[in-house]
Amino acid sequence: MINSIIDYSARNRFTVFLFVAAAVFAGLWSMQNLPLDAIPDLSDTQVIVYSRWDRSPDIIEDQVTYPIVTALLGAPKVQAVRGFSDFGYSYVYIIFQEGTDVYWARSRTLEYLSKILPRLPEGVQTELGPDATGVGWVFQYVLVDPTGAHDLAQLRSFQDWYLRYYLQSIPGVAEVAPIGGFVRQYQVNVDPNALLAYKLPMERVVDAIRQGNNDVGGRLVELNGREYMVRGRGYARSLDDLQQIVVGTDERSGTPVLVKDIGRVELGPDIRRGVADLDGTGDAVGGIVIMRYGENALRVIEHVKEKLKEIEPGLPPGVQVVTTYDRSELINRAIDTLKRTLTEELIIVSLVILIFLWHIPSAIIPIFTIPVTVIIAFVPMYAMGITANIMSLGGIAVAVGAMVDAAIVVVEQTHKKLEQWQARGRPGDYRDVIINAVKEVGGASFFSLLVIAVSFMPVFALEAQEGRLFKPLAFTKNFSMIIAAVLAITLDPAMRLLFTHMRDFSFRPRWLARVANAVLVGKIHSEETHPISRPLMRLYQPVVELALRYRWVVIVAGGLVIALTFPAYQRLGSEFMPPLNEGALLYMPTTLPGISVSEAGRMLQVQDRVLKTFPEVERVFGKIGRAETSTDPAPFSMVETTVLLKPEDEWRETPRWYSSWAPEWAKRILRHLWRDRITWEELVYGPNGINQAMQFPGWSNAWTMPIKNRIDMLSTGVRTPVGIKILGADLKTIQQLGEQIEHVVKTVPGTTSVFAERTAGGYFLDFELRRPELARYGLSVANVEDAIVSAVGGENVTTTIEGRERYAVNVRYQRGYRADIERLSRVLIGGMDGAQIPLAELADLRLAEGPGMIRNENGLLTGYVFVDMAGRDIGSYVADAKQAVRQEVKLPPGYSLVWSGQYEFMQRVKERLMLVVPITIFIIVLLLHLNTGSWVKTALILLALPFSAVGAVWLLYLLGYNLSIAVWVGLIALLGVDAETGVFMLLYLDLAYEDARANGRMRSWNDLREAIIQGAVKRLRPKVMTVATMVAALLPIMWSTGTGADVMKRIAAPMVGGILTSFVMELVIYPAFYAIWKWGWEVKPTLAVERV
Amino acid sequence: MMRGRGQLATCQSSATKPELPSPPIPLPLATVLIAILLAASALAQHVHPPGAEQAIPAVTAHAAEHKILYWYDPMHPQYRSDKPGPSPDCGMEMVPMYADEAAAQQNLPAGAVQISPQKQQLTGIRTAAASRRALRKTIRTVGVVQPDETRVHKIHTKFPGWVDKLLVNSTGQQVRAGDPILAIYSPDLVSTQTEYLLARRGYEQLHHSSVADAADGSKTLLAAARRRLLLWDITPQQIRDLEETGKAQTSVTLHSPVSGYVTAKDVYQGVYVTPEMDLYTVTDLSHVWVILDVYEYEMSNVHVGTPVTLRLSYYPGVTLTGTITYVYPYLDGKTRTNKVRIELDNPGMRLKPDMYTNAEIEASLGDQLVVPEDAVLDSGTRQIVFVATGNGHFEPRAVQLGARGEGYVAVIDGVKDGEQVVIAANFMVDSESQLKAALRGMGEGKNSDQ
Repeated sequence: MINSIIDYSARNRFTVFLFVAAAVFAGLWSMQNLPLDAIPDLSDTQVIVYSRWDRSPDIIEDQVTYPIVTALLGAPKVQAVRGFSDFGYSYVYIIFQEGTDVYWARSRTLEYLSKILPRLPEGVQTELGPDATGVGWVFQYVLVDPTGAHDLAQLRSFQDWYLRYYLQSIPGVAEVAPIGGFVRQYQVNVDPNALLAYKLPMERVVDAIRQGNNDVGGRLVELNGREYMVRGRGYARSLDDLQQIVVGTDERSGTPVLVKDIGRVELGPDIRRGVADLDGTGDAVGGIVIMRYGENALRVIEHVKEKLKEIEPGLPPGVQVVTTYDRSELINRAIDTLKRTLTEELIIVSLVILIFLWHIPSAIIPIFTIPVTVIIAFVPMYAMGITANIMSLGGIAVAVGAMVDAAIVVVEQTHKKLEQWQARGRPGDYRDVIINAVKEVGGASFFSLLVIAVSFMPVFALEAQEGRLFKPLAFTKNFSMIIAAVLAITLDPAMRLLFTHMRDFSFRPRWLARVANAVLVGKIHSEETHPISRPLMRLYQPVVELALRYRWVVIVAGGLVIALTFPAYQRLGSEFMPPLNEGALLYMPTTLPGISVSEAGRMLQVQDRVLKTFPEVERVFGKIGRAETSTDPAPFSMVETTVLLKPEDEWRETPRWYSSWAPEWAKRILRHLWRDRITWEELVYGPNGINQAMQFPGWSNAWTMPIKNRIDMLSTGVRTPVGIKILGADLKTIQQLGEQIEHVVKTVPGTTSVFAERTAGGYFLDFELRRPELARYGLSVANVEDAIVSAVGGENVTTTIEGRERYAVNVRYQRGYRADIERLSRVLIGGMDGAQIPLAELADLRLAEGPGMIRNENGLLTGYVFVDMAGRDIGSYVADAKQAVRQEVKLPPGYSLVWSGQYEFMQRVKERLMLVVPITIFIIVLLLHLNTGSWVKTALILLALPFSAVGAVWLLYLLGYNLSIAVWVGLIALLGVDAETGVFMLLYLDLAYEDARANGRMRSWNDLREAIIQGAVKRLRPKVMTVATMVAALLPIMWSTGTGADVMKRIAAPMVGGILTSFVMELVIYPAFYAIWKWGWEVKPTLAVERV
Repeated sequence: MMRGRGQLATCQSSATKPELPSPPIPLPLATVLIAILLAASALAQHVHPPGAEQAIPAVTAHAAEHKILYWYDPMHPQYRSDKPGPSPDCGMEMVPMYADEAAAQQNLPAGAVQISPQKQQLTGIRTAAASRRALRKTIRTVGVVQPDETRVHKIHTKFPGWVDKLLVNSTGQQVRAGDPILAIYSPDLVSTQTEYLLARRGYEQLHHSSVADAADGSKTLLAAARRRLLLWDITPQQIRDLEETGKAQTSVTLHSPVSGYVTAKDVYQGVYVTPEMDLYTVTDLSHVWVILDVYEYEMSNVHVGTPVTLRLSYYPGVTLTGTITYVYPYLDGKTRTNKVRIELDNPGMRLKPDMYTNAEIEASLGDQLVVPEDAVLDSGTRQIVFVATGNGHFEPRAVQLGARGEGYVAVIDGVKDGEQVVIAANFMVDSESQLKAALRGMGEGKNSDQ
């Protein structure tokens, strides 16, 4: 079939060109329209139900989270429902099965939510989180006014009512979350003594204010043939309006009591749950632009920036928008790195081909095929909705070396055949020669590309974050391989014919004819006369001869080399994910929960000020607590400070091993592999590094990067290998159980760390109502609680409407009357007959500690026990631990344990890999066997695997890379490449052997030796070429230092090392093996038979 | 760019020198790379020494004493791991614990932390001494100005009659003792006057009488009539006038017996008044009472003699001081408060009856060892102060607290006089203490009871 395709393509060149041109056009169009991002979107299909209510966590849990979670439990395709209750917030995460459409999931959520919404307490604001995740935080800014003309409340108002809506209207922006500054609020600060004196209860004030702020319509009135719209104008628009509201009358004098008589009305800040800071200069007003799920980040950011520029003239005088985080820089840098790497790859590969073939018309074909393949690869990417990012472009970059292989083999083969054809005096049409030559190797090269594609299958078995991270790479790599394979049997034969002119041009001017001959006709050099392959062959010949003489020594030595690799392998560290240098740091220290807003803000400023003193730091945007978005679950005890760093070549220098002696030109090269600027690690963790300077008492530091952090914060489950969830109804019991389990699990062999969550972290001031007292004063619980709500906490009783702006009106006691416990004791409750009873007489005031955050899973309160283990099989460990817990811990009725953790996931991946890897190997073996027709050969080819492992491991070791998923992906990619090089290695040995046999020159050990030398040495060029192009194509990756290079390097490193060693070892050991095999099993037996 | 870096470099110790920008490496060189790569492998041993550190690129540049013992979750320091990775619940990266840090901590007593002076300053840690001082507790309440009950007068006539002329005819009018207030026509008075005149005439005729009985009788009669007039509040002057004119007055002027303000007037021109009618209430406001409402639970600190400061919303800035002169022995059932009284002179009549005043009763709690209230971290079950024991060490102490007042709280047990306690940023010190305790593995018990 392949042959007929080749035939067809060769004969219908222009159809082929037309199709390719169309595909290239589609590819170019896809390239333009492909969404760009730094890394693939790693988020689960997750919907957040977000509720706000200024209540403590336990109240929220009981009255909001629990009803919502239970309502959503039955929703279809739901994997897990997890609830979190924090002060003032309830988050319910509904995690849908992978692959569920987000919008479908959202409407199911709404559907199930609708039945519970009316039953939630009054005042609870429940909404669906935006169709975005924290990873969508693509752009952040602060509003500053260096002139000082605007205060934080004014800036915040501008942010909330103007800027935010301008930006939110941009397509692709899901939400603009404000943070920091002060939200303006009208505050009616009531003097409780005045209430006492006028005998007015607090509720009267609240009602009066609520009723004192409204506009109404009275429909229409007809007057003299005109209609007039009737309005009752009663919006309170100013402090004065509010002050004039009548609360009641003085019962003695009968004079009206106005709000201003019982308190002060002033503008003040609303309660703050997040503080922002810029460069340690103090409070700032910030905004976070959150991109919708699956959008083109780069385009969204561009639009945001355009919009900001557009509205710049409309900013209040003196106000500036300062960008504090801009992901487009990262994306651009990452894409640039990949683009540059790709370009470099194309050039290097072309050079390698040109040098080895020394024949421009032949070289043009692979050189032309690579960009065409790359461009067309964007079509399926666009069709599948894969964004262009480090991983997906990396997939193409990794594939470049291999995709050209088929073209090289085809070209090389035609080259060789034409050479022979020329030597034989050009019998017949050169076209047939070419087509036949292509047919000879077309199948093999097509299959070898397929092998490479198939070998990448295990990557598709990865799931969750790893899967989402590496699948795009696997997809694009395989797309490019498949496209390359298809082009190898269609475009290449067509072009081969187009570019092959066997006759020299001769026209005038002569120089032009010479150029035309050089470019279009060329001179076909045989391998033996070729300036590069000749010395290589001369070098290689003695090696092969020696290898053939000392066959067993060579094989044993090879085994030794492989064995020696083991120690190096064992010394490789491991890491979860390779670092993606984002060019920005995220400083994420945490302190104990319960820190107050003012203390938090103060510490934030101090930290930022210290950060700013580092010369590498460009800008510091501090955030403590949460921005007003459901995508930010950070508690107040957690700082997330974005530290923008200067470009790395502006960082401080650090001496390297070569710094003292290497000349400048050498430094320039060495710098690429061993940088002489301080590294990220040194900057952060070095002896005088940032981490050292940022050791503040009470804080534990953590350093990460913005995107990485947002990804890490996405999932909400257990992150340890093993986790035990204790489900039940009472947090105290759960905690006790947790401590028992902690005790038991500690004794299970293999446990390295176990920790049961403690539920503390919240500080409470409890008013324990004394019911007998209430009865004595004729008060209801509600009476007292209303007072606690409105007098102590303050209540937003109404909202003013002032043009576009809306502000809450809050009524509470004057600060002096609620500042401490003494004063809170005197909060007065209006009883019967105008009596005013202080709270202290109705309730016990107690300070207490309790849960600062409550977890709810599938409707039950949940506590986690985190367990880490090492040194044994996780399955048996879990079984042991389960057994131990079952024996030692007695669960009260209604409580249950759920064993989960990463081990489930690890086991699932393991199981899947157990299935996929054998299948992959089976398919590879099958393909190899199909191709070679011999099990021995297949086994020989598979020998390439240990050979390549040697180089892969040692190079990783030398470069100091850890084993990570990226490295494993590289190793998997290596698997396919190995099979391919193995095929080619054996192919030429076979060709020579068969040739000798056919000509009857296989009658002695010497004949065999000759044939092997012939196959190994004389056909060195195609082997060196394929390997050289593959390595050369990967070099720009190893070479690159830009953003995203680190991840790619970890994929490329094992490939480079592996290809090099497997090549060298194959060159030496294959002839030895081949000789033993052919001599022992084929030549000797036949000779023996003949002799008989 | 170069200049900027030079400037910035001054605040860091490492020397930076200007460097030429490196152009992209010429491509042919790339092919040399493989060779360099392999050649450099020997040298690379220096860069990446094999061993445990190999696993952690983050610390390859570190000296040996900066060895990592383990990683811990910054949010749950009890959770440790021997390898880096995401923290158990929220997926933050775990942070390393270095050997030298851990060693430094082992030398401190339980819960104690050491903070360098520089970090103390950055964190804003301030201390103050625990000291003995007179502790006072302020009870804030409201009072109502009332007339001194002993200085309120009602004016009645002692005879019925018709008001002829009202001389004091509005409430609020100030009167002095002896001021005429109204003229009254009273048939009783006229007849009494006539009786008096008759008695007087009789007396004039008979007082020289040799009949001792007759003289005495007329004298007695006259005295009785005079006495009757006097008792009816007719002044001696009026009696003299009566004697001079010899004619009974139909309209007699009555005089105010006291000074003060007319706070009530129930008499009108021409009205018929009887002795049981209140004509005027005259109140002397030169000395007033202020009655304060004190809630039951606050009464334990309020006694006769407790000083009180009054503030008047009508006169900002004016404060009046007094002491409690009387504690009423009963509660006001309606407001559920105990009334207490202070008495004040009222120069300039600034205090007007029914005026509200804000009052601060300053109850003395005696001389006690106190610390500023800000020093105490109260979790409900435990009260802790951090004591600076010198050398940057801070030590948590459980304290037993007594009364509070004026920003201070009495310490019954736990801190000694003169010890420095942390009064600012103690949340951070506490957090550090708990963190370190948890890292030392002692934190579990403590954490769970908190």
